[in-house]
Amino acid sequence: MKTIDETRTHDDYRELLPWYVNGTLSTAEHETVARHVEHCAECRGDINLFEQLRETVLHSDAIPIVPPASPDRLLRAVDRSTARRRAVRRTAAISGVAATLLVTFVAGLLLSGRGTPDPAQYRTLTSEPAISAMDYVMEVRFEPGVPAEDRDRLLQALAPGEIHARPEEGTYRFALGRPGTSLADIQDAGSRMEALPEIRSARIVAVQLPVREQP
Amino acid sequence: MAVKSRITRGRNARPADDEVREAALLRRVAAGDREALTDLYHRYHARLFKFTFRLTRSHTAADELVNDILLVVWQSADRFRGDSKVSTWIFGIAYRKAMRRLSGNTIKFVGDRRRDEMAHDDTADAETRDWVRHGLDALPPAQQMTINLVFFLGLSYAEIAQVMDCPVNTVKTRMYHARRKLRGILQASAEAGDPADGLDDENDR
Repeated sequence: MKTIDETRTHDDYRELLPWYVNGTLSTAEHETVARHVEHCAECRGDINLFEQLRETVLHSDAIPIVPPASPDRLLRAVDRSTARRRAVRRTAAISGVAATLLVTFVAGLLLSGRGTPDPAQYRTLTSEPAISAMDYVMEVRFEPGVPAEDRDRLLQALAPGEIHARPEEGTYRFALGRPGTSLADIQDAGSRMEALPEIRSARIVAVQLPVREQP
Repeated sequence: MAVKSRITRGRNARPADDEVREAALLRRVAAGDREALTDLYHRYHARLFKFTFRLTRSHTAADELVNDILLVVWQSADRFRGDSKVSTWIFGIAYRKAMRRLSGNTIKFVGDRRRDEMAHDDTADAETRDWVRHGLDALPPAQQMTINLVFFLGLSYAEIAQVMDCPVNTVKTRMYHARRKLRGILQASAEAGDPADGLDDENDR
C-alpha cells in the first residue's frame, strides 16, 4: 500500500505551498509538504516568493489609518431597517383584517338579499380605475455557474409574479410592489437578495405605473 | 534548513472558544440583540476596514462598506447555519460586497503614496517588495483577492472556497496562476537588472 507521500505528485505539493507558508495546513499535510520541500529546489523557490508576497501584503497593512470604531451609524441604519420591516408587517396585518371585514360585509349583504343595487340609483363617480400600487422592476443577475434549478428555486421565493428572463445572461426581471410597500422596502429586499452567494446583483431598473383604460 | 525554521503550523489559528463565543453572539444578533451586534462590530471593525480598504483604496468606501457588511449581518444572521466559522461567513459577505463595489473598476493593490515612500527606501528588501507590489497590481481582481485572503486574513484553502463560494480547486488554480504570473514579472525585472533580482530563487541559479 502506498503512503500519502508516494501518491502525491510534485504539482500536488506545489499547489499547497501558499497554505504551507500561511500555516493553515493540517498536521499531516504540513509534514508531507515539509518532507517534499526538503528535497525540491523548485518548491523552495516558490516558498521564497510566497514569503515575499506575505511580507508585501502585511507590510502595506500599515497604510490605512483605521478610523475609531463607532457603531452609532450602524445602529441608526439598523433602526431604519427594523422600522421599515415593522411598517410592512403592520400594513400587511391591517390589510388582512380589512379584507376579512370586507368579505364578511359583502357576504352578509348577499345573503340578506340586499346586495344587488338598483341600476337606476347607481352612479359611477369616476370612469377610471384607482391606481392601486406602483410596481418597481427589479433586475436580478446571478453569478456564473449557478444551476438553472437553483435559479428557479430562488426566483420562485423572491418573485411570485411574471418573470422576464434572459437565462443565457443570467438576468431576470420582475415587478415588485404591493400597496403600502415603499421604495426603501424594495431596496431593502434587494440588499437581502445581494447577500445571497448565488446572486451577483439585485437592482431596481425601472418603475412602472398601472396602465389606465381609456374612457 | 531556513525554510523549515520560518514556517510554523497554525500561525493564524484562533482559539476554539473564540469561535464558540462568536457563534453565540451571532445567535443573539439573529434574535435581534443590538448589544450583540455592537460587540460583533467592535470585534470586526478594524479587520473589515483594512480588508475593504486594501481593495478599494478609499477610506470613505471602506468605512461605508464596513457598515453595509454589518447591516447585512444583522439582516441575515438567522441564515447562518454553522457550516463555517463566523469569521468566514462575515468575510464572505465582505468579499461579495467589495466585489460588487469594484465591478467595472480596476483594483489597485496599494496606494501611490506608499510607492513614493518606497522610492526613498534604498534597502534591497523594500525594493523587492516594491516589485512584488507592481506584480500584484498586474493580477486580475480574483487572484489579488485570493492572495489577500491567504496572506492578509490567513485563511485555509477550504475557508477561502467558502468565502469566494467556489470549489477548492478553483482557489488553488487562482493561486497557481498568480504565482506563475508574478514569477514571470519578477523574472523579467531581474533580466532587466532590476531590484527584484534580489529575490532568492534557487531555480534561477
